Amino acid sequence: MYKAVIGLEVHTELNTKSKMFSGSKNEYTKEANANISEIDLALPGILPLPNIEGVRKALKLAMCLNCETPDEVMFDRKNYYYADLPKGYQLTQMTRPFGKNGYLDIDVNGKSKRVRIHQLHLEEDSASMTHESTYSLLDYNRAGVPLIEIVTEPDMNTIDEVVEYLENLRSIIKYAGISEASSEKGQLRVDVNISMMKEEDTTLGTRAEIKNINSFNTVKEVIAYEMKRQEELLSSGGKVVQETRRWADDEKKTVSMREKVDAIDYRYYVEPNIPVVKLNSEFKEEIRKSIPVLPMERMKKYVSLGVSEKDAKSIVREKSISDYFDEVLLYNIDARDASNWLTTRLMGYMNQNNLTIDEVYLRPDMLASLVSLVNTGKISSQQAKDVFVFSLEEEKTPLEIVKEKGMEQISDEETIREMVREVISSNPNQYEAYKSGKTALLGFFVGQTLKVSEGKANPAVVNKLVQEELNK
Amino acid sequence: MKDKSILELRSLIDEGKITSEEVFNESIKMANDSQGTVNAFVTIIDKYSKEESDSLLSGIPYALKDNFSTKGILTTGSSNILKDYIPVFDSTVYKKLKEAGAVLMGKTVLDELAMGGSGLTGHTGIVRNPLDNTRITGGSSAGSAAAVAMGTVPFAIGSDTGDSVRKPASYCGVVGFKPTYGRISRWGMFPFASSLDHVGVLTRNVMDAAIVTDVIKGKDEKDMTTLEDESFKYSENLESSLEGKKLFYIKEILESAALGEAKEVASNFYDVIHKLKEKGCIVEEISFRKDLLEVIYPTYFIISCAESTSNNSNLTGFIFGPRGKGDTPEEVMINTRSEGFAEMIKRRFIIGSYILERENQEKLFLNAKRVRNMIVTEMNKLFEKYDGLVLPAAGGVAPKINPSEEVDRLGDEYLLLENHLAIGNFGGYPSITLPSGFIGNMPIAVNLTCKVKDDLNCLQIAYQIEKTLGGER
Amino acid sequence: MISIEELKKYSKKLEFYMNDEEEYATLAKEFEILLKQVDKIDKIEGIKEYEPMSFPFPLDDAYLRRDEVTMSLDRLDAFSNCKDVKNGCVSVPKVVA
Repeated sequence: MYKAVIGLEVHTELNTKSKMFSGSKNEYTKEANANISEIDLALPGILPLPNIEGVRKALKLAMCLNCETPDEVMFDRKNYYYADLPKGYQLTQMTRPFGKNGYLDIDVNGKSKRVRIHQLHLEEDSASMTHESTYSLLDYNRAGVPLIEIVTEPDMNTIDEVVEYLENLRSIIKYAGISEASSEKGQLRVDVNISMMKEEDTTLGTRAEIKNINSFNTVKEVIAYEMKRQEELLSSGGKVVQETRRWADDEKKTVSMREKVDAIDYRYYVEPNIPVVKLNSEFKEEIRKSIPVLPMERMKKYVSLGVSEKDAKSIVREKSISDYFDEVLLYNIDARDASNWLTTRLMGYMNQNNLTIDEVYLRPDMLASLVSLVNTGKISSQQAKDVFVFSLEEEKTPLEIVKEKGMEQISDEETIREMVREVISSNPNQYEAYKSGKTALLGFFVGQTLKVSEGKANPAVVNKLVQEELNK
Repeated sequence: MKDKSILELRSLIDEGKITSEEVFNESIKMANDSQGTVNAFVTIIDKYSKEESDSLLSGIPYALKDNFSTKGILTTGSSNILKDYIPVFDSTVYKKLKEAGAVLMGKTVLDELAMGGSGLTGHTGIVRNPLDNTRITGGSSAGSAAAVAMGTVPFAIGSDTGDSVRKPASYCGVVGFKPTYGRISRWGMFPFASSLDHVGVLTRNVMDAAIVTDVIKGKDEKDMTTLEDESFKYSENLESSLEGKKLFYIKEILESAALGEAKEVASNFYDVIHKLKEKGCIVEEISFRKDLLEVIYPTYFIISCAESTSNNSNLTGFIFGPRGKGDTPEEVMINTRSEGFAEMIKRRFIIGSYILERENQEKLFLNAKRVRNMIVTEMNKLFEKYDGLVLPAAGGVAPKINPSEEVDRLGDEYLLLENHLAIGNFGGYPSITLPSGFIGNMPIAVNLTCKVKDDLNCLQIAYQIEKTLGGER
Repeated sequence: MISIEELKKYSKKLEFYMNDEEEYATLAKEFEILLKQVDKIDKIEGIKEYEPMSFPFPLDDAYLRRDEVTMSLDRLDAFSNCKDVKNGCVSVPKVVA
């Protein structure tokens, strides 16, 4: 009946050392007003000092999102009055945004979809406020922190698509090293623009905007609520009001903030204190070259090498893990095996011991050698599990462990046959039972032989020879 | 020390005939004595303080317009909205002068927030012309011009957005120099209209203007619009010859000087031209599009109102300045701003805001910016052929004080002679006003404007003009 | 002609009001003069062929600032002019959501 039409505006705080238009520190801190300067406070007579790293990061993200990028740097003033806006205007981009007409391709339930990026621009964050009983407190630590705003076209129609877009976007942002993108630290904020329309409608419905959502889970809740609210309103003959709403988490609903009918005119104009800086092609090329292979592409590569989609997704979730896996793959071992080891054993170990992949002792070459040891039959897969544990505990390479502990798998048939015969002769009752039809006892003899060999005997060979000897 | 130039004071101090502290004391005494009549100062420094330096300005007293931030010293912009504001950082100009050993003796009155041209709108009261107390000094650098004219200081710093250094210089009979845009850093200077604002210098003679500019010019990493450093000093290269220099003046502007005082101004101007020609200078009359000349003032007015509205949006009383009452932040803002701004300023802001409204920008704001482009383009073409534009600085002597009326420059009688100095701001050109004569006992002046970054040439020619006209006062 | 009502709306948007009602009338007159001038400007021959100018001249060596921490204001200094400081923050009457 009705389908949702959703556009998103995502704000991400950049991880530059200093703020966007001032030289004060850009660092998350719990101490109020610790990272401030006269520029952040908009004291009379200050001038804006644009940060080159902010520009680089914005261009980098624009390129990651396939946007057209400009040849010059220009900023504009967005004029309005609010307690958290010291200058009475925000420095942002209207005339020459750093990205236009880009896109991000997503994959939802096997179907591919393109979400178009309308615009990407660089701007500064406002101060933060805490509200007490009769007064509000202004903390200017956040005032002036660089922000990139990414605005999509209203191309999404379901919660799944929205989540997929957001997850991918965050992943790209982190891969590009632009932002920590931590929701807890408020470094990634989402505004949702949503309207409903009937399939047969040709024009979009009236939209509501829900601002400043801090977590992806809340985004899901907001959209689900709004879809229901708007659909109920429209079905009963009512009209959706064009307005700004906020999510009231305690009541689990969206609440109207102010009607957008009398939209604020921000009286934009070009910032006169920042002369136009030309972006030459070398500068832009350098940025383009610094873009790493992005998660989607990496996933496709892993899957094509035999890695399961689930494992591939797990691996690309963090760039450092994916980089680690890429290194492992350089050693020409089976990708699927390597991914299993990485996702089940190594990542499990990391979680238990609160270690990052860069802190863990087992380096990519070591993981590769472990997989190789198993696949060439030098050790059994059972032994490999032990080698893995020993290697991490004793901080020695798998090869060293195998050597030291004499764990090389025995595959020599002569030697194993001796063991099998020994086991058979030491277990006459089970032998009789087997001969008289209890063929399940095969497992017993295999197990005993492995025990005698202290786990070193190649299970496949043991199996084969036990069968041979029993069936003589 | 009254009426002494910088170099004259320099010798007196160096020869031990007077100490810089004595000079300072004399200066503040003169200032205090004059407050009842001229009222040039918002603040007169009471304690002598000076940094060690061997520069030419060491020990020389000066006045600073009260829109330049001085750490620990009241800086009000001559507005009630900042009447108790004490900056916590220095403007670059102040910092450089301090480091050069110059001695700040006072902060001078301006038209409120630099938005005016009379000297009558500062929050501490009107400034009267020291040469004739019934007349204005002009503005907005009213107090700075008066301080130099009175002889309390050999130099003062001002700011010039449409003519705010160069017009009061004319009315007060002193030299007013506005270098190229970006030559002097605006860090710490309260902004009026950022794309038109310039730092300027008021002195008794051209050499002093060069000396002061040498000290305060330079690239500043805190002001992205500043120009690259020059390897030479203006004051050491001022000597040149008028022989072969090519100047032009605008026919339409002189033709408009048909009646009364303006006619005398034109007569004085032609006299000056004649003297320059005798020295081998080429001076030619050029025709300039009258339709563009006629809209110089509205163009300036539109751009400056629009920019000023935005530049003063930080004045809310939250972090600094007097704070109005209120139960919500918005009420506080409204009361602070309603009480803090004078009515004239509010009218300018409303006009400025209207100009920037989305539906008005094309016809109002953008068109004015296009006219700016047209005028600058035409001027740049002329500067390819000529060293400078010379014109009378004003249409007459300093007008009489009429406290109830701002000089109506937007009215139907456009006075081309009154409004052309804004060309120097549109294009960021170096421009200097120098006294050229008297009508009765009130001074009049000529103005020289040269092409962008040609500050040295501008000062050199001005220096020669000054010599030709009989030197300093 | 701009109405007094409209002018009051504009002044509200700028977060102030005129203390004196007469001021709005003065302002309306100023608007009238200004708008006449604006019409004159609009009729200037060739005006649309020119780009609106935002800077007096282009700065060929314009550059961007290196990403380094170079400024910091001590909290006491920063708020030395503030009329209401609480818990190291600027305090204002409560913002209504």
